[in-house]
Amino acid sequence: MNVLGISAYYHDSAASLIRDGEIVAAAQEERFTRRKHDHGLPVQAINFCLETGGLKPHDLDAVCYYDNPFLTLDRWLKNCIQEGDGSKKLIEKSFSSLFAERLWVHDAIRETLGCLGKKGKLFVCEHHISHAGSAFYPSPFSSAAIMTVDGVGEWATTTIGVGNKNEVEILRQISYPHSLGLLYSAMTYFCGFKVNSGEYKLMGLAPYGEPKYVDLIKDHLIEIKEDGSYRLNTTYFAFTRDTAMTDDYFGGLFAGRRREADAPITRREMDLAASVQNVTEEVIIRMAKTAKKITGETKLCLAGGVALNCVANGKLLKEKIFDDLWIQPAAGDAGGSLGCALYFYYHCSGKQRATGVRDMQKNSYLGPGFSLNEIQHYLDSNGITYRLFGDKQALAAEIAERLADNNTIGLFSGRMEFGPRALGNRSIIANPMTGGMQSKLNVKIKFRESFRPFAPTVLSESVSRYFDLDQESPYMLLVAEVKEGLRRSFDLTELFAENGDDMLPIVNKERSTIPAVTHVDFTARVQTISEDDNPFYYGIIKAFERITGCSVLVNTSFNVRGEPIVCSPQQAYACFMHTDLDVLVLENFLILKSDQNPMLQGMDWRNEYEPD
Amino acid sequence: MSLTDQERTKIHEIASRLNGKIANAFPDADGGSDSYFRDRIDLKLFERPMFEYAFETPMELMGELEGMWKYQDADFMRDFMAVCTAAAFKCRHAPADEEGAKGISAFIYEF
Repeated sequence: MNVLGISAYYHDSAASLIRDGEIVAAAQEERFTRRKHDHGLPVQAINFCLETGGLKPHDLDAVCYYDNPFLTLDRWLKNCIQEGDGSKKLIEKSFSSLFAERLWVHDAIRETLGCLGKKGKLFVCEHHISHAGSAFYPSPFSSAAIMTVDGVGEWATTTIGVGNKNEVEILRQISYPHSLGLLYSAMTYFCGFKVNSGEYKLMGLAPYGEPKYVDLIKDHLIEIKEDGSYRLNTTYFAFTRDTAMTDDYFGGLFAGRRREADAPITRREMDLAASVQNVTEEVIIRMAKTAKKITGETKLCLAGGVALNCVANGKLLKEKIFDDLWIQPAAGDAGGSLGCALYFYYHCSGKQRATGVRDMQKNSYLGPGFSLNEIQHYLDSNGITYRLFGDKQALAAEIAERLADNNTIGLFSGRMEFGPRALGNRSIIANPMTGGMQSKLNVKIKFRESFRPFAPTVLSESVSRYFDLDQESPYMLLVAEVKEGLRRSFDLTELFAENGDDMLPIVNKERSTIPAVTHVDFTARVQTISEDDNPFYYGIIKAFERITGCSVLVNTSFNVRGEPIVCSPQQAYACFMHTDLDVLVLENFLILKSDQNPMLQGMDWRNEYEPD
Repeated sequence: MSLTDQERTKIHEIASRLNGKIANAFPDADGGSDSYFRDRIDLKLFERPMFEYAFETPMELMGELEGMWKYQDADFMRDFMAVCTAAAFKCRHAPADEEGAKGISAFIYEF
């Protein structure tokens, strides 16, 4: 049975194809259109899925969509009632997207595909059921508690549910306008970052600050019950009535107006980030305790945009409320495409579900891959100088040598990752032991804010040598502390006193023996890698370890600020040529910047993509 | 002048009128207990988590909306049925709005 799942019309549109319960392909539309968080119908992602599955649209047994448009309309109308005379902006804001796009999703998909599969009908699935399905079905657990937390689905913003064999059920729910995701987004917006992409920045900024606004947030913005359920005080938020997340009333609480996007980041934003992060963690941990109590399960699955908050995930793991935790790597709306297809296959069609030691997500390497012939044809037809390695082990050794020499390398190999994290197939990799590497990568290669942290990839067998983590984290969704013995002490308060709000000297301060991946609070967003996960990437780190003794690399996504992660060899080469990357690896081809035509390097890419 | 100005105005009028009649339109507005979690069974928002989405005619769309609001026991929402149906069918095949065409809105929580 072939089932196509689609998410669209909110953000991070995507398509996924499953065959007899196996995930065959999944990709976000932004990777093809090159529009970050593309929200349109994922036409190219659908085509990619069908091609990978060797299918025509009429071969599909079912086509599923991840959200119920009737229920979304219901919520929107009731929001209008709630605002009454003040609902004009709300109507202007969403009228077209509701009545011209979402309600006609079946028309649009039929038009794209030419049909709606064998059944000729579109199946729609509730948004949080789609999230829950994406969290539970690919997990290695036969039964588990499920938590989904995001901005908003139709009504639901937070749910607790349970998965058992092939069934998923939601048991408890918190509904719009009360939303932990929207609280985090509102603070993101207030701190001058973009909603739905700036949340990562806020999370990265949090360790620079002190959680001095926690009481203010809890006294005025959110009331949290013992069981982790909560309510927002909507008076302070503008999203129920306006095109903005916050207004002056919100600003009044925090001594000033919203930070402008290009204004310097001050201690206030750092402290606000630390405070909202602290509150988020408190809610998540309390809620997890409740999920355990309600379901009696010993394992937990997570999805929804808030599940990408790897700092909160790390704290949750540390609390040991559950014996094991599995988080959908495409936890945001993209993963909904996968969840609704799996829910159709297992829950609605009653198919048996087998579980094993490993999950069914295939390391999230579910996107497009390119053959050696395709790459060579591209390189030759563009006169690009390269070295071809017949032996991948030899190539891994060459890459490791260059990493040890502090080269920065764009690594393009195998199938593209599904979800926001690059996991070694569309990654920029570098030496983590080099002082100043974090700011070099941020400023000269990624063109982004200097404070933003980088993640380490570490050999699975060595993870506990470097981090306070004794389990695998293949999807880079857990934050753990760098081992105390590797840290170099420094006083953040003192550094701020010396440098004011200038963060660069603080970023450049070496905090451990692997400074490029050690955040100011000595944490790191860890990706573990085993030979089974990705033999080539594992081989590179192993070779690096033989040269340097270090089993860790910097791993950041292969893109610049505001650009979707590269998908094709052409995009990889373009990104390589317009940044300070030293080396590009396209499968078996090694391409050196020093060998390239300097004429191609001239264009400045800082303005190529809108800042995220 | 937009093709759907009339529907936008009507939705605003109905919403304003109902605002005076409905104390709180949101589903979990009552607080004061030990928990703000609601049992899914009690919420009664939609009958089926997954279903065939297949309306083609105004009558079919009205039937779907009526079914949803009947299930919710929300008779007051019937006032929106005709205007929402008219809006939907006027917008069928309409080009995406400007924001949609550009790929992403600056305020992407466009709920």
